Amino acid sequence: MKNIAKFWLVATATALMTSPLAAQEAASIDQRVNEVFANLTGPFVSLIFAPFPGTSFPWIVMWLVVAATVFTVYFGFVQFRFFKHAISLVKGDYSDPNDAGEVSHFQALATALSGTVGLGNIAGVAVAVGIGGPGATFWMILAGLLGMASKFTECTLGVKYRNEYEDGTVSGGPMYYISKGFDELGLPGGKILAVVFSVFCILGALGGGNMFQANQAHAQISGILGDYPGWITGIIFAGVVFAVIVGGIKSIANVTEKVVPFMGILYVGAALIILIVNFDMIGWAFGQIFAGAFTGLGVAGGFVGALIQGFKRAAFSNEAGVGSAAIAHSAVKTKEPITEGFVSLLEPLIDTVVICTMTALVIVISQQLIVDPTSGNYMLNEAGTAIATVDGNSGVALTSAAFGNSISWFPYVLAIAVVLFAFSTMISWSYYGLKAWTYLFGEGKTAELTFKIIFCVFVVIGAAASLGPVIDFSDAAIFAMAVVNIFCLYFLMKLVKKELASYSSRLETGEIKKFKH
Amino acid sequence: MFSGDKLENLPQTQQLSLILKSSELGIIEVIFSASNWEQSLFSRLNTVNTEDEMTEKLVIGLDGTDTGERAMAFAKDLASKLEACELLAIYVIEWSPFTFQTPEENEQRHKRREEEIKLATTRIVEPAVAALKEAGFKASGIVRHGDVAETLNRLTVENGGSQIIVGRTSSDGFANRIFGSSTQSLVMNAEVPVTVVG
Repeated sequence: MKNIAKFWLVATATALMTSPLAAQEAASIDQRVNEVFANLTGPFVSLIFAPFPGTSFPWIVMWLVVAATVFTVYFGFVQFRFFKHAISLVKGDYSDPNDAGEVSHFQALATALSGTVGLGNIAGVAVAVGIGGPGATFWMILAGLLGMASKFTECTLGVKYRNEYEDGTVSGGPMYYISKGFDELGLPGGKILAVVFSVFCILGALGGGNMFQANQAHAQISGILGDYPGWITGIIFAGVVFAVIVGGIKSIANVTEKVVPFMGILYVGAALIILIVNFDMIGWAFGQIFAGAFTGLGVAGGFVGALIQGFKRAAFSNEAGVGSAAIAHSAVKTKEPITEGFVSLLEPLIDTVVICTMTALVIVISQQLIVDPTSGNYMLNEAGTAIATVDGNSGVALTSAAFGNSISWFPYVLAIAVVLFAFSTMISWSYYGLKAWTYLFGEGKTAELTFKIIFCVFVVIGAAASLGPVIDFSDAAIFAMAVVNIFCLYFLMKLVKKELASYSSRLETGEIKKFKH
Repeated sequence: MFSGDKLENLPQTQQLSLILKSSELGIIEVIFSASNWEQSLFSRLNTVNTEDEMTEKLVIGLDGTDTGERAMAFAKDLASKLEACELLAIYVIEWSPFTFQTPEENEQRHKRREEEIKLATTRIVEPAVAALKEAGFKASGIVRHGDVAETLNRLTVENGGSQIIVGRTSSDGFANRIFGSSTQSLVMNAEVPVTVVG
């Protein structure tokens, strides 16, 4: 394995050294990759984002929000009723000290979060605010709060119906709870739905969990080093990912897993400092957010445009209802599957309601979005698709410019953070994709290696393609997972309700007790 | 401060709390002011036995190194001077619930934990218990994951141990300077007397 890794490093180095000569040719490689990719994924993207007839409202956005609302009502606002309990669980108050050494609630939460906190919070929010205006933030927060119930439902099921193998390892996720849960309820088609989910999960892993990350990481690096072909970043990234997931070089993953949380804290800290320094503008920014949420303030598509962008970005960022977190949480050895559900409902809160909102506020306060001084509305760019920005930035570049406006050196920190976030998200999603892959093709060395190599190839494609097609495909693939997952959750949610009733009554009688006070 | 004689005259509970207090403050005068502290400790423990007719339970904190061995030797020596005495050898595998891990690590965790426990049991605790039994003591062993100081103290209290014997910290690395060692933390927070063997 070490030799393979070495080979990749050498190959990468060679590619780098020859690159200046081949720069022109490289640009055309990027173009070709982009064209082929856009043509291939076009129909799939159009299907997922098809609007309701006669409107511009994509059905998928409605699908996600309706589901989150249904789960919120069905479980009696579980995200608020059990919020304090979720915090106690993460603190370890209910953990039996004799079970110490197993994956803790905190570790499961942190692992799932490192898969979701990342570019969605930095670049995704910039896209949402850039197209939908500040009003998108309001809908994003609302979607985040509702999404907590979706997360709760899927993660409880993930732990309840996972596979436990003789050697002590576990495999879980929607594909397992769909097939087992449907069997338990005597419903037909569980197996087929599980297979369909797995296919979408693999696409999601290659799209949002991989190409989008590679693409935005390249955008960051080239923003600082100057423009150069994307496939070079792609090959370097692919080499490192390959070393970790195939070569088993754990040290790289371990370093990332340890650095990423600090990057997250640093990011939120920087955002807070900017907000404190501009505290006189916070009221105005919230005013823009509320006004924009219901009027649109001149953005493309009006307030519906803001709403679509907000909901879309929230779902993409916290992945509630997508089913990915259910795979991450399944690894926890717990006597009560529902405790993982409670813990997981904190994820959309941290990810969307806290971190995404910070980014949005910083972008709004930094006044990167150009306002028409006479009408007070936002000005659109020439194509009329997004709000015009000071330097014509979009995506992660917009966030970077917004932070750079107050803290001049922060774009450099952000570049490092983006690269690390992208990397840790890729590692998480390579695992989610792998679980879906082995569900389809069986758990074996060859099957696993095949997927991992495909995964690395897509890193290169993602870095080389341009943002438009990549972000469309990433969204489409991740939302396709949600189509199957949520459809099945409607049938399976009564199983969760049973768990919830049993757990809350035992919590009341004191049968479930605290170990720490 | 207090002479050994004065200590002897105090009621049992106060004696124990005094020893605990002094160890908390790092004042070892109490112990040294007795002609031979080991003997005085031994005589106090014996008093407990004759009065309450209960078995003394000494807990040995193992760490798989030489200092753990020295703690063992000291415990044996002490136990041999007591009439009814039981020894409990504990090995704590350092582990924190608040770390960041990859999904693969989480998936493997249960398996790894079993392996770690098995390894610690066969390599460290079982040989220690066997050695104690061979020397004619009633002995048992426990392996647990957790914060070393906290877990050692909790298990001692749970199992009715009357004192903990540990070796001094074997390493004096940079991290220890800043955060303090497990031994330091144990001495400062334990609910029973702690003997640190150098």
